[in-house]
Amino acid sequence: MHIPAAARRTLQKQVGKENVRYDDISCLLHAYDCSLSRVRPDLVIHVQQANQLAPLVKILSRYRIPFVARAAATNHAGSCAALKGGAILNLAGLNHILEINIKEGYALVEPGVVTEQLQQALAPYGFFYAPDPASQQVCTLGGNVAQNASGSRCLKYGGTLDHVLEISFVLPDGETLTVSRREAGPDWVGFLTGSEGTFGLITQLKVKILPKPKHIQTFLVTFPSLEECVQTVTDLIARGIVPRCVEAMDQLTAESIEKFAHAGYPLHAPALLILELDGELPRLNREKEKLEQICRDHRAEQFITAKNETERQRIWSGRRAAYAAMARLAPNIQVCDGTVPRSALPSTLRRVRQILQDTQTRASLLFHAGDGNFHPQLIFDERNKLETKRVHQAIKQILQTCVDAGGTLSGEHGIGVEKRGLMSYAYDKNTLRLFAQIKQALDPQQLANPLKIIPLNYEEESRDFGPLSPEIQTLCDQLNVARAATNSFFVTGANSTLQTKSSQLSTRLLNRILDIDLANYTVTAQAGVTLAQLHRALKAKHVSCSLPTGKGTLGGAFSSGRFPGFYTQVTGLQALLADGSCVRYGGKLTKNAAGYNLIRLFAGAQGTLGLVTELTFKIKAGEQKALPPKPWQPLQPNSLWKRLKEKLDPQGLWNTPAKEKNK
Amino acid sequence: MNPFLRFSRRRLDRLYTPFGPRTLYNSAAYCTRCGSCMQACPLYQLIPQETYSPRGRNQLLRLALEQKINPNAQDPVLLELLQTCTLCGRCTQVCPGRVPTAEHVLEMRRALNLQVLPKILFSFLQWRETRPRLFKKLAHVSLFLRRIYALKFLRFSGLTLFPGLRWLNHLDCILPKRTPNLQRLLRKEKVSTTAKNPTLIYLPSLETEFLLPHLALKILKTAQKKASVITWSNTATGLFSYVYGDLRQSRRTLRRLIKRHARLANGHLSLLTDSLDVYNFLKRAPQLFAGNPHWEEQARQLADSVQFVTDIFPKKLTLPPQQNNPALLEYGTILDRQSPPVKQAEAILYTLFGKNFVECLYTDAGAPAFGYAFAKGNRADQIGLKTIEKIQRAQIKTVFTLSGLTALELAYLFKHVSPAVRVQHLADII
Repeated sequence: MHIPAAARRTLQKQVGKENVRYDDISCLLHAYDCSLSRVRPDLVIHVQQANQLAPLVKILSRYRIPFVARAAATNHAGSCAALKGGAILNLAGLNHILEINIKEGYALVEPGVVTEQLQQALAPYGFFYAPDPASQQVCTLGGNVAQNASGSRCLKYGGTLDHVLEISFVLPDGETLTVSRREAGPDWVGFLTGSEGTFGLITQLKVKILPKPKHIQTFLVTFPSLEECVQTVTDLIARGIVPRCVEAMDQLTAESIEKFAHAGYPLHAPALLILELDGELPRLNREKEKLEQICRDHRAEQFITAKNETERQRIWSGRRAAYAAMARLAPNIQVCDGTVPRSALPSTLRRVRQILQDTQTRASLLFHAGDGNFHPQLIFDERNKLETKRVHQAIKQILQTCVDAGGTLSGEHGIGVEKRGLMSYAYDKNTLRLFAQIKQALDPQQLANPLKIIPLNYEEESRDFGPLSPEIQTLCDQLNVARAATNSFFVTGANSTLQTKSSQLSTRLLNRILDIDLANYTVTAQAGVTLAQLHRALKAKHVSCSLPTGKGTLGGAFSSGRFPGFYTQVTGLQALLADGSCVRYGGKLTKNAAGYNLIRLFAGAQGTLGLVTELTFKIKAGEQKALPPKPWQPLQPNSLWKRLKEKLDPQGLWNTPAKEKNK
Repeated sequence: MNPFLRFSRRRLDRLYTPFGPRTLYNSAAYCTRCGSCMQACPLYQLIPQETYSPRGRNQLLRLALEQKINPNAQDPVLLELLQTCTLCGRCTQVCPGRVPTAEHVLEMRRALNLQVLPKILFSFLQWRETRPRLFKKLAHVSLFLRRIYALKFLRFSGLTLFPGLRWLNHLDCILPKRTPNLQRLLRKEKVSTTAKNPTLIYLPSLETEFLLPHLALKILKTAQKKASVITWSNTATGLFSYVYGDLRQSRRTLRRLIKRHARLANGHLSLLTDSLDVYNFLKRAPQLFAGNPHWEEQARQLADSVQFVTDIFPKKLTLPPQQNNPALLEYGTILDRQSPPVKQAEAILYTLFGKNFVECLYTDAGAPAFGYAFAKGNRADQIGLKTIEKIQRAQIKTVFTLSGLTALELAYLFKHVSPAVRVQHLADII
């Protein structure tokens, strides 16, 4: 792409001549990340101060120069490749920790702060930042938020998504905005997390910090089969024991690691599990007893407890050495992060082994057993075209297997450009079209990290996921009639008392509980199911959810914004849009980093962007404490909401809070 | 034609990695671009830009070898990229694939004939390999001139502000106040440097021989308690040319050393060095002769016989006076931070200081080693100040190094910022 000389001059004036580079070496050294993608940008801008970002983006927008943010560039998805050329903005210089507030439990940081740097700064206060991507020694917090990264502690503490409280960012046209979790309306913070820089640039982050657990205990357990291993984890979680980390590997992987790291892993067992508990000592001891019992119930062969820190480190040394063990065998490693429902892990892993064998690919196979996220590390030499082709083939088949098993393409690495083509396999046309509309609404000039996430020819290639259920079809028909007559709707449920002149579209039709899955501990229910009905059904199965009993429907509890704690429990969603299309996102998954997070977009949106028709969320065995409701607050339209509303509902079919308030 | 591809004797044919010999291209290809090296690099910590990162340096080499870029020795970005590398080897230490980035940088410098040191200083030090007698005389004359304040006069007159002479300022700053003559010192102490049936050869490094003769004396005395020692004075190893000059000269010097070593008891005598840099270089001598089985074997024999001062440490050491204060071992070396002497030194200090011994992490910026401060003075100061920050945070009172030059460089930095901190070569505690 040609960068006009005037644009260069203006940029140099803004950030200094030495910080705008367009020489061959600088451009080529910013063409790659940890993936195989290599695209040369036309310009590299080293940003030294966060307040330079908004004016910079304005200049880039004025000259229609695409831009990609980049800091450590450690992602495996090709998210940092400047596919349309343009500018790479190096944010690694924005590496200041601005504030640590242990009283209120947050840290205010710039996007270029390295995760480990924050951990070190928090250590003297006895605090820590929970997300722990494997590359935390080098990856930056801005990158973590952009990719929604997570690590082995994700099961207990959640991923980056759950630890960001506030994001300040610059939209692709230079407008600055700060979104916070305290605001009423969609969970904008959750929605922007994992958007891979396609909506703009992060300038500042407020992240949650937690007190460090005083005691940690690590266990190494062997099982006679992968099924028993995975079922143990499911039972643990269902019984309320959420381990700090749950890492698993099969026999072949344990053997290859042991050869290299000598961590003392038992090699005879078909499956091996590393578990770690943390917390106060009395509770830890209670949990340990339960844990051992559950493991024994599932025919655990060896139950090794790390007696001291040295033994603990030895157990972890094997797991940590997995990447290094493979890195020495061949020049390149591709790490996949397909995720499946926990119950599907054993069958998927068998299939993956078969794929690796069929494609003659060498790989180690590790997985976070708690969240169904597994990491085959495929080794090859990218200079050997044939071998590279085989690896690509294997990755494609592995990810398709994940999707077929009800899973997703990415649990923590993101889509970028490497998995972009497979998005047509994972999502239907309507959902991909919604992704494209969201991108178009927030970045009409397609400048911020262009051509990522959304496949280019999804209209032709995306899959059809079958017909809609009769109830949703009925709602669709009502919607189509209303659209033709340009009438507006107000979505109501069982508890709506709102007086409105608009027609009402009731979700009472959607009153079926579709599935209570005791293998994955999830429920799939339609949005019109009342909370009382839901609790009755769950009680019959001796399980419970975090929503309180009372008036109202499931959809209402989700959309009203009164239970923000419930958002983290929701793993799948189906919604109806103003154009009459039905979109699907997620499933029985603990984590999903593929595409824009529609759950967080519709959560708390109060029916202004679409009608939520179906939800999948997590449950637990036995009773659990219900979430306290927040007082209802009307949605405060911000710039993001306005742009999305204009794009997704141009006719104003769905309710607009401000309009109803006037009435 | 691409200078990286041009066949030249200046290039190594293959690099010896922990996973077997690899060609330069193969070695660079093993960089998976994972970025693990970046936070370990003292330069990247200072300037977080890809052009200052080990990953960037490896990728540059690969791009050049794949002819996707045509390196030009006049390109300021390329010069900065290659000249600023401290060759410390931290990146290799943390790299999952143990990619030898420092070796790659040296190869690129050689391919471009890059002059890193100031010309006058380079020529002067080069004479140690090419004209050792002249060098020795000049070194003594220079030290004499300094003793009579000639260097102070030059600084006062402003002559050292001229480009090409600025290194004299730094030299005057780091040199100790008194630099006695080693030979005179040995005569005074009646220590013999020759033995009839020697069992150990002591090879004093440039700095211990000319600048820190007391240290050389101490090492020699300790070694003589264990073995019959001879000293090879002013003997170059080829390290200087390997890092700053021509690979052919480095090979020539090394061959001379190998021959001399072989002549004495068929090359079965151990060779003792007091500089970790020299130790690291001699240990990798065989790779300089890869493809020439005769010399490769000879070099391997030499490498096998190399010992570091930690090998001659007495079993019982008297505790230094500040054993109750925290102490740190600053690796400050080039090419390899994981060689056995480092582990031995750590063990020694751990025995002496117990819990007061502070481990030097790979992420901590370290002292720039082997003349980096003469090549890139401003960067060296910035890196050094980072080390000081860490040392001040940990309230460390004694810093140990494994090379004389690093001790001098660090002592100079501490003199102004933390005068209470003592910097000494580990051999000083014998």
